[in-house]
Amino acid sequence: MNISKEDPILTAFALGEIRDPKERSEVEQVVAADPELEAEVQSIRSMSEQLSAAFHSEAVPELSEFEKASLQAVPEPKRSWVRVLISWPVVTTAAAAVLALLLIPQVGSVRFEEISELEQGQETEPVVSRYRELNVDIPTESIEGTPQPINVPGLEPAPTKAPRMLVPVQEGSAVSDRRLSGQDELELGLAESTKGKALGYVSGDEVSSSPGVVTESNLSTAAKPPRSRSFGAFADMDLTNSLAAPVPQAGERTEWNTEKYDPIDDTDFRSPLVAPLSTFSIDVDTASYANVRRFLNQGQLPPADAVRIEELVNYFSYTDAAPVESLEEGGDPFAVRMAQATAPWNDEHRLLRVALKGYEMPWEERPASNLVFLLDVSGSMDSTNKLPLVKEAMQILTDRLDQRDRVAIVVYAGASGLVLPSTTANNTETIEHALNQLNAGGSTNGGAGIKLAYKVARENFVEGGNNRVILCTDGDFNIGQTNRSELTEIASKEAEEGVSLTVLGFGMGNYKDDILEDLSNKGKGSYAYVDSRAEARKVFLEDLASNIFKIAKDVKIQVEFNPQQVQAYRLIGYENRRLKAEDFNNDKKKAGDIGPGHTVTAFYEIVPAGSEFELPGVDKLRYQQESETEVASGEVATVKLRYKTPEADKSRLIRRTAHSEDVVEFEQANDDFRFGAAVAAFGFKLRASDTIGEFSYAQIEQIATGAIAEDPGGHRSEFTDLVRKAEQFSK
Amino acid sequence: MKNEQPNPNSEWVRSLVETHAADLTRYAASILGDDDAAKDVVQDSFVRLWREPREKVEDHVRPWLFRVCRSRALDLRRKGVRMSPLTDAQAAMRPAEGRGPEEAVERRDSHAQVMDFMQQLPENQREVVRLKFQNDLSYKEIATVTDLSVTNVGFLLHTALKTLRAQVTASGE
Repeated sequence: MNISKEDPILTAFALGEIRDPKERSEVEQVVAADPELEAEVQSIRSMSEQLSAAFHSEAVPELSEFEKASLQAVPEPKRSWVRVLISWPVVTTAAAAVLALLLIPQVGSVRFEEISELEQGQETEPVVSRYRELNVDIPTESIEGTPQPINVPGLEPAPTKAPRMLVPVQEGSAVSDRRLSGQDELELGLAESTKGKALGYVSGDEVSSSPGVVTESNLSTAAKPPRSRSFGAFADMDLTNSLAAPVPQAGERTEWNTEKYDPIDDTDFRSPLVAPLSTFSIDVDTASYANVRRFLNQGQLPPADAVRIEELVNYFSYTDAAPVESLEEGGDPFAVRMAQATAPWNDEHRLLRVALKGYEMPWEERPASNLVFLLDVSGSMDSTNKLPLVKEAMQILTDRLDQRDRVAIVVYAGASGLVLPSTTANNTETIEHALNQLNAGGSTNGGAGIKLAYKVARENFVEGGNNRVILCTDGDFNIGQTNRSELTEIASKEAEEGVSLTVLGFGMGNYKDDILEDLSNKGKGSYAYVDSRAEARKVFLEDLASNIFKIAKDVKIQVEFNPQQVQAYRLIGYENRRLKAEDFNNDKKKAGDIGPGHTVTAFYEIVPAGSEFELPGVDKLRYQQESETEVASGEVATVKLRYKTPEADKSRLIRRTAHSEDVVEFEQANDDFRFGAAVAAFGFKLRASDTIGEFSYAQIEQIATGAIAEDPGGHRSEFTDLVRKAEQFSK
Repeated sequence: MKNEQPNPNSEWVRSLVETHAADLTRYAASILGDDDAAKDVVQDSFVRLWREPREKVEDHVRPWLFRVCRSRALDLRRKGVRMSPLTDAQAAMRPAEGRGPEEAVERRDSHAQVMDFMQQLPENQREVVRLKFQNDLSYKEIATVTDLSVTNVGFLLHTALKTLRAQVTASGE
């Protein structure tokens, strides 16, 4: 045998690649006989060692447990190996189904495979170009030491990949299709790119964060003349439904950094002769209180428009009794209580308190939940009172759920993505792992995130269950197609399809209260503001059931005042929850939901007939009958409620009447009444309203202190502290 | 929630994922220049694997996976107009885990040089070099992965090593 230095067999020999023993020994002999070849072999081996070392030093892409689990996922668990073979087309469908939950690019790539074999050269955008790594910095090393068994039986469908963010495709097909199939999803992902459109975001300028921007809703009110303060026109009532233009009040309505609040215009007193009906949707939100508290704890008074009095009042739990009659006995899901007393700030005036108390639902009897957390992981969330709080809050929540419940996590920032596919809640390690990997970074595309979250929610829809997207954000939607009205439209549409939206506001500085409140209203969920661990516990432990379940929906209240007893009245708070009078009986008109154990309180301030009170008068009506029916003389008002049970389309009516003989002195009213009134007065003070006269913070504090009662969570005591702070800052 | 018996092959696939997934991802990333695209490709490869009868692939599953992975990655890259793959040299510059800092720096220097030279090889040579020295595939396995003949693989490797040796020697002088 003769071997030259150029012979590849030399390399093969050096690398131990000669399989045939006879050939190998021949080469060995030849090499051993020739020092030059010997050196050559040594050189090759040395080179190969260097190469090996260099190559092995190359970073190995870290695969998270999720990614591994996803790689191990059985496309169709029930089919046996052989049957898989036989029913190949079925398997592809199954594989597609599994992939449907995988991220869009993957679905795309399967598609590519099929296309590419048929239609070579078809111009299609590369799969990978449709997404970009989200700036969420998922630490790749984070999985070390958590070799948890992702042996998927609990996951359905199989978990997808680990935290990966996709660049959202543009709007378009996204919302129009309900119940997207895998194919639809593919379309969703490919829609833009296959058309060859450039990838990109629509500028976030549509909702600019600069102060004074005219958002669509502002625009609509701006276009209208400012609401008339006279009672001149009956049509005036309609306008109460829309947001009023801000009333300029020096120093009170300044923009605070970039936080945004919709203007609130205090309600004026109205005569029942002009407006006999007061109609509004209930509101179970509490966000405003926590936000107000945040301002006060920071040493400043909140901007007037951040103060929504009904949310302040409803922040507290009240001891009103739950309904006595069970649902099975034909009872209502909530009890309605009314009480009247003199107003603490004006002896002449009375307060009418209307309280709804939902029945308490034992935790074990709760409906199965399908929760999709939509977490804002944008850069603005990167502070201790935001993302870490979100994680903590979620941890608290998931600890209380079990295998009946499903939890998914969608994140959004510059891009949005599914970081935790819908997973039964007993997979605590899996969930915890996903939570631990979240980091803030990048900017926000709330629009795409919200769509993805709703999609995941729909895909895991639980009939008769609690299907809900829980948005955790500081509301800083600054990238993407986040036209506010479009977002709220989505929320409203999804709510009709049975997926509610709970909004949890976090953080400060660029908090967009206006959008969030609007979203939760349209999404038919509650809205809470979480500014501390304590608040996270309140929202997720004390009030969890109230916040994520509903026992009745579209709860509307309409109060008819008797002009013989009432000269004027006003509803305290609920400014942006007003409904038209005719909406009350219109079951198509949506309104707020109530959860188990929720208390919803509304106060009316009433000026009794015969009092000295200046109202811009109207002439005595000439054609209206005084009253068509005999009215018992003592009737002050009739309170009507309409609600639907969660599954119903048709509303039920509850009617209660308030009588003048039930009015007591304020001091005689119960703790809940007095405390609620104190909170309402506090709200007026913070809004710098002159409608409670000289009533002082000290008086508010005094009433509240005397009405603390049992105060299980310490919230009422905390309130008195806040009153003291507000007093201090207002000097 | 389903509570089915685990698929008999689950454990097998699981072990395959443990053993090969990272290598496959790194390999696909070397073609695509993008870890996430690479992960997609690997994902697809495993989906493919499920479709394959176990007995048909079991005895050569590593090259089989590399083969599927390669063809998918190349497919993707052909269409990937926008992608700008990390060059191998750049990839080599990325720090590997698990080494002390000083040692790492020193090693990285010499490794980077080798990778730099490697980077100048023609693509077909680069590929077999990577399969051989990074993924420890045999000539025969590389032939399977790349659709080349064993002889061809041997020739490419031989040529590549020759070039590299010359360059390393030259740089050392």
